[in-house]
Amino acid sequence: MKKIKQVVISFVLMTILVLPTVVYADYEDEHAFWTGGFPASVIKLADYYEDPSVASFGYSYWTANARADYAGISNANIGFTNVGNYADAEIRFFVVSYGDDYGGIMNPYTSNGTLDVFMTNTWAKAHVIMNDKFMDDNNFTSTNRHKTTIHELGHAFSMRHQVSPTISVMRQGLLNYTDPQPLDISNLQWKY
Amino acid sequence: MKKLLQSIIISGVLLSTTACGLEQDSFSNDTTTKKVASQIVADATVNQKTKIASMHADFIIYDSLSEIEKNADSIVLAEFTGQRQLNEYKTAEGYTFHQNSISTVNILKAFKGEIDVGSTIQTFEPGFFQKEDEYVNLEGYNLMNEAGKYILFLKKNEAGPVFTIVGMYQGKYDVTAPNQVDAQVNKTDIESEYLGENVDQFNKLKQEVLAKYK
Repeated sequence: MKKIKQVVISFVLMTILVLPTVVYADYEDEHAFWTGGFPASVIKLADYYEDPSVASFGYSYWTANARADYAGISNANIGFTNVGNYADAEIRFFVVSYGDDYGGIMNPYTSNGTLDVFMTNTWAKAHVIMNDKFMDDNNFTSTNRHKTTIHELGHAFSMRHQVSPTISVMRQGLLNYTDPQPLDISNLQWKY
Repeated sequence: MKKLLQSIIISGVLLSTTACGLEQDSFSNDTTTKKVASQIVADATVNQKTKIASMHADFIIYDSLSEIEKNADSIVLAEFTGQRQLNEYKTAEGYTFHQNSISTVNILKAFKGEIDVGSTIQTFEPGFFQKEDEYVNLEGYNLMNEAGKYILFLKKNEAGPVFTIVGMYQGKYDVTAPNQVDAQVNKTDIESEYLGENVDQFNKLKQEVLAKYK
């Protein structure tokens, strides 16, 4: 009986110690990324294009800020150059307001123009799309829209979603992160 | 004391092994590894060989039916007419940068809003066939079919006449399919009402819908 009691006590103690790490885990390094994506040589200085919808819906500040935030990460080779046209750009930005009920999506494409739906291939292009009507409908603040923009651009670097309660711009939902968080930074430094 | 310490160590090893297993399970559920299609088509024949590609979006996950109802301008019972078209978002130069579907439905009942019973409307649906046997969707949404009757939670759009389904998969429920979605098979079964990861949430919401809307 005494032995059983000891085992039970020790099991309870270990549960208390171990369980918090069982509930969730930050995705780090290779686990934070899809296997597909742009080559590092592209990310080093990605050609980008902004559709006129970005300015007309008032998202220019957030897209510019998002690019600057990622490019500003030390020890990560991330950069952008504006090529001014759709055809030559690797990363293209759009804003929509008439369609499905989502805040943002990132559509990657292979070199033959096919949508890489399973995120496992080499990308030639990526479309970063924000949905202004969704954000209006759900009372997104300026900060929320900023977070959505930086989140969607993060997907163009092959970053996967992080899960609650991880502190990361790659978490889904109505959040207030407007800059890459330490976990995002370390993951991008690892990747690029 | 020595025996207690031994018990603690053994328990720790057992629990740590379990924890690693759980972490691996939660990681492996996140992405799929199927092949990419190469051709866009507007219509396709659905069969058990249809490949399913569920892409992720940033969206609101609803905890309750009341939240969905609050965000809907209209709540209706509708049937799909069979008319569906591929909807392409294009740049000014004509480049396509995104796709979904626009589907036509007949309104059978109206529970909220200004849509008339007996009328015909169109809704966006976040899914389309990239080629004849490959279905691409956002967050596990499956297209309406002509056999079903659907409770739809809809938002109107000032930009045009087509309605938006609230919360994508969270705003459409087939009342002719009372069985719960099976998480073991739904991601690969094109016949499943919901193809995504939030099966418990979908089933819970559906039960609420079936209980309230008949």
